[in-house]
Amino acid sequence: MEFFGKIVISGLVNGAIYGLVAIGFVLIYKASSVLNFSQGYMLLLGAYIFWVFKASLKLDLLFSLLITIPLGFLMGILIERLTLRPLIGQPLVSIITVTIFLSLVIEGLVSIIWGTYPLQQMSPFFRGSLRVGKINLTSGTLFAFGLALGAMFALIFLFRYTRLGLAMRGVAEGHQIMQSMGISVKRILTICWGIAGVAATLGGILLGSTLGFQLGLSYIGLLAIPAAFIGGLDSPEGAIVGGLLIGLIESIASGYFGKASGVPTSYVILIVVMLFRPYGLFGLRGIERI
Amino acid sequence: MLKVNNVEVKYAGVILILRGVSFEVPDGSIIALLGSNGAGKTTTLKAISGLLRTELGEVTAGTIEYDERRIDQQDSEEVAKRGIIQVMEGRKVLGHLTVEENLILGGYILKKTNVKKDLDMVYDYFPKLKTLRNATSGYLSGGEQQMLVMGRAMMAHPKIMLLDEPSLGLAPLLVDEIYEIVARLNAEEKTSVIVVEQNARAALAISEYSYVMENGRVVLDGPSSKLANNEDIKEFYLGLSKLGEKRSYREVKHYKRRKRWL
Amino acid sequence: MRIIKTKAQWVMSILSLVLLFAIPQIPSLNNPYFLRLLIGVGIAVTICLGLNILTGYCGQLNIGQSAFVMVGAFTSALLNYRLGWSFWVCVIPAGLASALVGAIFGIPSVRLRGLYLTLTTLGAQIILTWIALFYIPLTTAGFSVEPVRVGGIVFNTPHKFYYIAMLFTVVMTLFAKNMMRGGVGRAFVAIRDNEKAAEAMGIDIFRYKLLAFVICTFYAGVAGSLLVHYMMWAHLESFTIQDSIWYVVMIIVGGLGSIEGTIFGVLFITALKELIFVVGPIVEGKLVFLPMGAGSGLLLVIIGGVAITFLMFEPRGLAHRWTLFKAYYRLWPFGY
Repeated sequence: MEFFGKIVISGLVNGAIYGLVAIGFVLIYKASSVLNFSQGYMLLLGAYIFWVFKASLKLDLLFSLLITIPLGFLMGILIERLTLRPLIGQPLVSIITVTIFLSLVIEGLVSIIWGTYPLQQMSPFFRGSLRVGKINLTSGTLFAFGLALGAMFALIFLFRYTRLGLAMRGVAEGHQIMQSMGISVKRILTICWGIAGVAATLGGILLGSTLGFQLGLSYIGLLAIPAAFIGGLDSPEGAIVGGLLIGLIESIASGYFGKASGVPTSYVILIVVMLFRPYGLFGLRGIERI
Repeated sequence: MLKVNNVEVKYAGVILILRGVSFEVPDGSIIALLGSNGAGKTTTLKAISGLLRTELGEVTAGTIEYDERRIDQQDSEEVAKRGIIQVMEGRKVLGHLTVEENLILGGYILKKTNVKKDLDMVYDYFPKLKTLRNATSGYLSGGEQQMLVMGRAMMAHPKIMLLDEPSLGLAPLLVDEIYEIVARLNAEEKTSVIVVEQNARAALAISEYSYVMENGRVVLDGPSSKLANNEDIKEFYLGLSKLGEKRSYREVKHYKRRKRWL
Repeated sequence: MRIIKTKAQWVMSILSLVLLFAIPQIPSLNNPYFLRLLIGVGIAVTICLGLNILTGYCGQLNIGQSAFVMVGAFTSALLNYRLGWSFWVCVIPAGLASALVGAIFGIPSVRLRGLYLTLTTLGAQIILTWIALFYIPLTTAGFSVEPVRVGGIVFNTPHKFYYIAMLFTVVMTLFAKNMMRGGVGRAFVAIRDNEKAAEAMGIDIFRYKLLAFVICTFYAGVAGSLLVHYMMWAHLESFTIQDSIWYVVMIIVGGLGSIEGTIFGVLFITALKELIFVVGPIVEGKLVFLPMGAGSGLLLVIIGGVAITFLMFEPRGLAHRWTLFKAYYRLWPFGY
């Protein structure tokens, strides 16, 4: 029982992080139909930048966060400006391929600056822990969970209840239509990428604090993808649910079937879900009028 | 006043669509652009509103001026800010959003925080929309969607509204209703309107002045009432030759009646 | 539409075939390194042909191709290892095994569209690798496979295997080209361009999509069989998701929906990767002040940058450039 509890907790915590990364993924897809294959690598870069401030320069936690997050936004914007902007109007496959190449470039960049070996361990953010029944929750875990969940809800709020969010949803419906209303689609897309950069960075920071800061962090991209798809590629709310679900599934599978089975099991479940819900759990059905 | 001077438009640098189009739109007037498919009417509107850029098109010669300032090289955002809004053909609503959300986005560029007054104005013009305010716009009927896109344009309080084929695919009664609203809009808000239509009857009825386009050129223009009685227009656009007689398709001979403007 | 339309094309085709098979006879090109490279190209071309048929012609993005190669590879290897069957007997069953698995992963296409279907291919990559890891006890360490034999000749060096590889590559390319210019190819393209219209015209969407999957994975399986009998060793590390992605990149850079494009793309990317492989360690040696791994990192940046810039200027791939070039040549010296 205690084992199960531990599994559920770690699953939920990881799941919250996957959900956060998945929201960034969904945001970009929704606004521009682009599958951002470099999301996992943006996560990596954001995490490493945080490490520079916190572990290398030894600044304190709050300060490091306050610096890194805007830098994450900047990273997203830069990527959009330099690589995606020139390709507006080109076939979608080419744009998606560019994100794949982008992964290579970012991985290369990270290797050049920091090398390929894992970075020095960072001291835990907080000390102390909370006992819930028989289970020990470290403060670090609670912090990660809380921050991830908070960030996700903030993004959902942005999307659903603000003017900017409405404009983003509009852009998802049709670029030319929005242009005809005088709304600058380019600006909205840039902002979407910036937000995705922030989501990736935050996810990277949280994940790095638990798993360590190493190149393998980028593989989270592989798990955020099913999270985004299960929730529904058009639905940021779905990404939260998808993330938590995948986190749980992965955790349970690795706990009971061995470490390597986490990811494959998630994908099996994903395929099964998709057979019943082709657009994901919360995806918007395509409005087809013939 | 909007002035289009000898405008030439090319797509992808090689496809010539407009070959020197000129016309004027005095403030507060309703102008009709007539012509059959492929004449270049929609392209003219897109040249004015700046949407050509999104489709690899550009104005390669001539100028378009609004209130003495050139707008043909500007992005659609800037043109919209100056008060020229295009209602594209095909009733392009933002499908998954509700009616009200569509309308709010229509007024986005005005950057107002309180849009209630504008919403009420639109609902006043289109009572049907009010009952549908929370409906998903993609599932509305054709007529309702047309009302929505027009209302959406009105939210931006345009000085000139470019209406592209508002009657496309709508029932005749609905077409009359839409055009009544256009007339009311012109009278009350003093919005100039350029109507592009294949439905010549409706367009001639509502406009003061009309231009007929063919193959990228303006071939005929004049006050709408005069054009409605023009023999060529009657034959080729209003189908009014041989009224009352049965038309046998064996007798359709183009050369028998040449268009006077060629 | 015939494949070879003019006499000039006949001449060029025959010449290039002769040249292709004559390469091992040319002294300057006759080194193991170069031949090994070309064999790799041949196998990759086979894999990418199948992929281009599914992704380029039929429009269903498949990012799990290397897993299907793996299925063919292990099938062939196991048949050889356990039952002692020779390569020639193993090839077809290997292809068929892959095709069967491909069909299974193609079944979701009855409900899933577009990117959601792509996801099942990603799932295929991950799930198949997992199954191989756990349920084929030999796969982690790898196990040995016999080389190809014809009569008394054993094709166990790059010099000799080259002919086998090129033979299969040419045959598979011709098959693909022929298939795609017929009704099947046109059905695929119809599905890619406008699924609803295709359905309205009477094309059975599900059946053709499934067929595309089967053809794609059959090619993968055959290539896999070639691969293991060439390497004479079968192990998991040859079939990763990075490989799957490289294959997709190859056909995109080469040109989707084009047989020639496949070949161009494979050549271009292979050259690029060799560049990383060869120049990387050299750069790393020179720039000692950078941390470990920086050299390869630098190359990744450059390669990625080059590729991105390439796509910016020619998003339709090398095949498109080639078409433009041919058109220009045909019209020369007139501009249009």
